[in-house]
Amino acid sequence: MADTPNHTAVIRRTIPSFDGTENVEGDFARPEKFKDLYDALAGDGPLIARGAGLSYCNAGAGPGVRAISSLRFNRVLAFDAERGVVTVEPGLAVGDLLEFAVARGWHLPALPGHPCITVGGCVAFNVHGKTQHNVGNFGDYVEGFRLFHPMHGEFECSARERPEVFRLTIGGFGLTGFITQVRLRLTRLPSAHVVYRRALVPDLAEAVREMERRKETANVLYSWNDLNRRGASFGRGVVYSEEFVPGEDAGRLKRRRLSPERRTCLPFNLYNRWTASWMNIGYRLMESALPRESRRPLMANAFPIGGKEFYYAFFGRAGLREYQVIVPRDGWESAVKELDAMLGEAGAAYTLGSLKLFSGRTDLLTFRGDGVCLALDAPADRRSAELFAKLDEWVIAHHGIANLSKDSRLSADVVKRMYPEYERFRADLRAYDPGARFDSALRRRLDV
Amino acid sequence: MSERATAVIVGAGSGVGRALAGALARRGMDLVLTSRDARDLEATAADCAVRCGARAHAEPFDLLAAPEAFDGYTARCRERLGRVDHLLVTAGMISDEDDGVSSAELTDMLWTVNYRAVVRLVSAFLPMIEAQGRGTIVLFSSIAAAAPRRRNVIYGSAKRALEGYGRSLQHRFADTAIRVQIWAPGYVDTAMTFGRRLLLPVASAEALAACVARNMDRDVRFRYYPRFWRLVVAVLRSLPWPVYKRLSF
Repeated sequence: MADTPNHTAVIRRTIPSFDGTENVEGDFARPEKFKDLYDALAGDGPLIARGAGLSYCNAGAGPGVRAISSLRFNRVLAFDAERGVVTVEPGLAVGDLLEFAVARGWHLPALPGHPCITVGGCVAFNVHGKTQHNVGNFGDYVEGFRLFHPMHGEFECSARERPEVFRLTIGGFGLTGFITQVRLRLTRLPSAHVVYRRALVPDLAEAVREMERRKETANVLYSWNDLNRRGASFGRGVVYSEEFVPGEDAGRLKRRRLSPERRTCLPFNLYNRWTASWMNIGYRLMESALPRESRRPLMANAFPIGGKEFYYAFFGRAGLREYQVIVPRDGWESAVKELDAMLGEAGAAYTLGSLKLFSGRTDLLTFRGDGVCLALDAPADRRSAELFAKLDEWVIAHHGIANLSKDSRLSADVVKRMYPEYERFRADLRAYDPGARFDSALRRRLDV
Repeated sequence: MSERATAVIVGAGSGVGRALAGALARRGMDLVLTSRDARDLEATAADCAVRCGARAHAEPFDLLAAPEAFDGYTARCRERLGRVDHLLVTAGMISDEDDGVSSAELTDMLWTVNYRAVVRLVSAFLPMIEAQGRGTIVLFSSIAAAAPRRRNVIYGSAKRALEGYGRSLQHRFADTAIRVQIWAPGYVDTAMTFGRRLLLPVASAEALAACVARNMDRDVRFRYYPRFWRLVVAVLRSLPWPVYKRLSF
């Protein structure tokens, strides 16, 4: 509505990480017009694009870094209905993208956990969905994008145009510049209905076996596991899978809101060993009473955490930590035994445990590999910090990798030891952006 | 030219105008979207077309243009749409230095963008609308017009003048099929309120746009949005001067 020549378009703000463990102070701009966007990008100091801010660590902000919000650049610009190629702005929420695609008979199967996450964020972390082993990562669906960097100007990137920058940007944490447009290659939607299955499993090993039995046909496959139980029932839980079945109406997504600034208003944490344990036991009881199989419209469960945002609120101001790791299948059984022992010793509150199957090669710093992906959540306190430091060594010993979008405390040294192409990423990024014009708390911590 | 209802949105580059583009596109209207920057308009027009199948034309125009240019602009709108069923003007300008002693240049610009150019624009469309025999003109005032204060001096007084203009037109077109609607939004979540610490809730541009769209063909003459501002304004107006003069808001 307004032309605001003298109004402050950039404000100073303390930006929390989504997990609540790190606050950074920097400038924040929320341009609505292209002129304001390019004005913000013309600033002197370091810059970073900021989407929904839902990466657990501070990737969309940094101390003294100007964070430029992409949220008002959320339009759909073009759609090729024959090839299923859609051109969108980076601030488009994946929930809106999915609704758009499904309404036209298309799909993007590699979408992250919450509908408010932006397309730009998906590119920045080359995110995975719940059937990574079948459908790959988000980056596999990116045909190209337009990128702006003060030193390089605005240019197109794809497998054919500036392929080295294309590769560096996908999973590049937004450090190559501000993406202004993304072209995505959608897949045809087999149908609008799914059959949703639950299988109760007694422990972590059986969860993996159950998932492997279903992996060929499932288009969604993951498990929920109780990591508070020790010994024989470690990881007792439920394996969820979905398969397409004929059906017309995909349903609609409910509007959800989640952001780091509004994650919680509770000053204290509600989770401890007992409440976490009871919560998990209660959840499993509830799941065991629900039908083993049910038919649902596709959108009903597209984002399972939708509607359960209170889960994050209950951690209070101090927040949570999440450790997500891919462990190669071979060493999995022995790794699990060691994990059980470590978790027991640490005695933290394990509010969430979850498994997924993964396949592929680790490219630069993308979270991808062959094996089992385990995620665990705990309140952010000294206990979990010490545990996670032990987990770092456990992961390295088993030749695994940790997800850089999750744990806010992963150090450069550990990441260097986990990711064989760390040095390559560092060299490529520094060659492309020697002045660190794009910077973030994540970049500084990883020292790339 | 087209059987679908049509609308011209001046200020469609951002904020409420852009939200209106989405709301009206969803109602299947053909649109002309106007602001100064074609880039903003093209992206919004594309979004309307791809998501809603609407025909949306980007037609850049600067409200600070010379008076002679307005007729060319209205002619282009008529060419695009055939007829103009609705004219919505969200364009406006606000400044932190609008404190009653701003420069002559700034004062002039604020006055022109917020009042004079809007009147020029509406006047340029009136012959077409009168010839059509029907049409809706939607103007946007602000709560700033209702409770004058030491900030947004020219903005507030220009909006007050614009309200007066709108009400005069209402009187002129009473008992015809030509409607003039005036909306006075409170705080809306756009660049205008970004970064400001505000004591009262901020409404979303989308919610305001949806409300305007819903009421466009109804007999609404003046509304605050959201409604609670009516109460706020009533309270402010009832305060005696010795109290009012101490308020800093």
